[in-house]
Amino acid sequence: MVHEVANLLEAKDLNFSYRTSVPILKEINVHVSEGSNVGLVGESGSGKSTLLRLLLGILSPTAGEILFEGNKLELTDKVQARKFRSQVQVVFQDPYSSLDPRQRIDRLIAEPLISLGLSKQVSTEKRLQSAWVEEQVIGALESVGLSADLAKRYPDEFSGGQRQRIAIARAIVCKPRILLADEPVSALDVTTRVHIIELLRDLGERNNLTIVTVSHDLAVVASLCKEMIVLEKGVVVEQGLTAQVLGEPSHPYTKRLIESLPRLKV
Amino acid sequence: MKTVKAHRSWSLIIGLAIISTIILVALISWLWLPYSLDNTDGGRLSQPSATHWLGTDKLGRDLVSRLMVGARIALTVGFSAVLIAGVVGLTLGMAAGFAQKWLDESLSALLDILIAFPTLLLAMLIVAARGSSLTSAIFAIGFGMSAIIARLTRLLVKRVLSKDFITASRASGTSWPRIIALHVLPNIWPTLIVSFALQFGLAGLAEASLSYLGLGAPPPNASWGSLLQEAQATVMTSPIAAIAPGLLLVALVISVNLIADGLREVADPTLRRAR
Amino acid sequence: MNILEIRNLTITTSANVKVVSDVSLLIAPGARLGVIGESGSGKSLTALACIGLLPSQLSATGSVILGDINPQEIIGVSDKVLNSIRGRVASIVFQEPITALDPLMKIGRQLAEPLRRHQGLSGDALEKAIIQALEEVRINNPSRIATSFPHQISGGERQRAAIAMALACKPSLLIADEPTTALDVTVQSEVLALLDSIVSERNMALLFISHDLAVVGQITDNVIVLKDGAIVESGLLREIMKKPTHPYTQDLVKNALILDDALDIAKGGA
Repeated sequence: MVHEVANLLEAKDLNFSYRTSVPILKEINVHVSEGSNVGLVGESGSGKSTLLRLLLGILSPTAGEILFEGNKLELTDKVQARKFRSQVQVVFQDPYSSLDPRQRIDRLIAEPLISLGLSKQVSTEKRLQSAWVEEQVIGALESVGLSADLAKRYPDEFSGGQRQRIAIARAIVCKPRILLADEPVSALDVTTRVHIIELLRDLGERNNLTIVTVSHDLAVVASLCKEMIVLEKGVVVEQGLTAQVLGEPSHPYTKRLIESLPRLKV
Repeated sequence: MKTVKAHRSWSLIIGLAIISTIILVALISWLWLPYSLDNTDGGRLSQPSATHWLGTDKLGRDLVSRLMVGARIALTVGFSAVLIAGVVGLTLGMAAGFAQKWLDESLSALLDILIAFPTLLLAMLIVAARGSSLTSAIFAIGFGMSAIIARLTRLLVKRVLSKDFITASRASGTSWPRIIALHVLPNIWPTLIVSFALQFGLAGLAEASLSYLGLGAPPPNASWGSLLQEAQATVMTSPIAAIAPGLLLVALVISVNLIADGLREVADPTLRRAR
Repeated sequence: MNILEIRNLTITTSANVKVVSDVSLLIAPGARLGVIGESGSGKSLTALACIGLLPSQLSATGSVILGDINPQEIIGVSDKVLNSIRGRVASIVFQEPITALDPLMKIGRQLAEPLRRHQGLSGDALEKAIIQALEEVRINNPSRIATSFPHQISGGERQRAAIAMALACKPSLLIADEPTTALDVTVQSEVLALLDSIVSERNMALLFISHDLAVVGQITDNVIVLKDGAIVESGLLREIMKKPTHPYTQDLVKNALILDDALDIAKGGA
């Protein structure tokens, strides 16, 4: 029991490279514990976004494995794939590329419910299925602070911050346990950034959701994540509690990262 | 599917008006012609008159009737060739769009070769094999154009596949066929439609060239291309016989180009809205 | 005489939307001004207007006077006049070095152009000047960079090369539009330090644009805050941080502090 909670999602001896090129990730060992948000920090070329995609199961490891709830991730197994996908969802960086411009947002948000067969589990009748789906979509919209009457609009009618909320709504609609976020606020203005971070924090607490976020911005990780992992050129150089890593960094790279941060002088 | 928002586009309106007229003429030609095409009583190369509005050709056939039938042929060629080009091009293009590395490169090379291959040469080959006919012309044009459609489709598909919303869809458990139907096709459709409209006009021109060279449908083919070819010898004495089919071809091509422009303005919301 | 004087600059689109409204500012020779603005604030357009690089579908009214020795009105003036000013009186560094540099030309050649034009150099002297220009922006291995294409070098190196090009004609004013935003954090601090020292050494004036208060604060204390094309606040950054007067600035400062404080809170132990 404790083992399952502790290791909800794990990368074990993970290596990854594209066909014939340089290795992007080397011997990565990280784990995500339920209830403890994790920040993946690094600069360009660190492999952090690739790691996220491996954890999401969109890429397959060249060597090593991804474990979900202690079991190796085999997405060819349809039953396991469905369960995994309903439990592990994703939000991307670019709010302008993560929503299909030609779909209404209620359809976009409902997609996981339909593709994962969740609506069919509720009832065999189409009418009841649709009603349930609509209910879930409205619930998701309201959780992210958007009103239900926006459901019939198209993505291009919304601002960057609102689009990101919609993307989050889509990610939480099937009530996942883990939310993987790839630079979720980097493309947003400062004020919106803070709002979205607060939203993510709230959702994490209210819905028993563990957030794994990639960020080059240490302030975001500091605001949201209890633990952090520092990556440099495909290797984990430091990991641990955020307070520890930021307060007393041991690796020279981590120290450089922290020292390079432009701080506000008040 | 997103419906097209009503947006005044003069290009679209004018283009549709012109082509509707041509379509109307073609439809009427099924039901009624001033004179049947066999009728050679008009007197050779007569001038426009009350009985023959645009005069007659060198065999005494009424020019207006021949032009009306020509409209029918032009539209048939246009629609059929675009249909072939669309089906073949879309399939090949989708395959190439999804293909990776060596498969993608091979398909792209194949498409490049097809595009470089002159339509006329292709037509000659088909005609040599199957004999000169309208169907041969249509197939030649259709296959020639399919490579262009395929290239465009490949580019559009690759662009869509690189977007995060496709990855988000996969992360939602959506199957690839469903992703194609739900996300890929709706996003490539607006640009493809514009391309189809343009190809329609080009098909008409291609057919005219083929007929002009005698590779199209054999006589008594009344396509505008063959009318032009026939009128060549007598252009000094009966210029109308050359001008009329020429003008109609121009009208057809202009109308589809206007429609293409109009569609571009109306159908793609991302172009209209300046962020 | 000021090196840059903007009075009542208003920029409108062809659909008559005001994207910059009545902006006025001045920079004395050797002085620095920070422009703080988020996306849509009109900051980049203001920068482009300073050297007459506004896209043709936008029209500008008001006055932009550039240069202290030979003050020149920029708005409405011909390209010929603008070309004699650009690079020499003022030059600009953009956010994305990959678009500022010609992808098909080696760095050395791109640098050679302004050097040849401004200093009339050629042959060996030109080669030496290129290497020297790259050394001044603290590029490691300048001869390798000079013979490389933009995509073959790192983001930080590209930005340094872009800065070298901007400085080649020894301008009196450097306009920097989000010059470090696209760079990694460690590279960002180096490039900022570079800009700071070069601008000081050469006694240049600096117009520094960024959405990041902390970054602006590293390089200048005099700032204006832009929102929706208008100046909502101006003054010393540390005063504005303590007592922001405009509601927008209040929000901006509050949220920037929340993020900045998070770094300290985390260290304190959550």
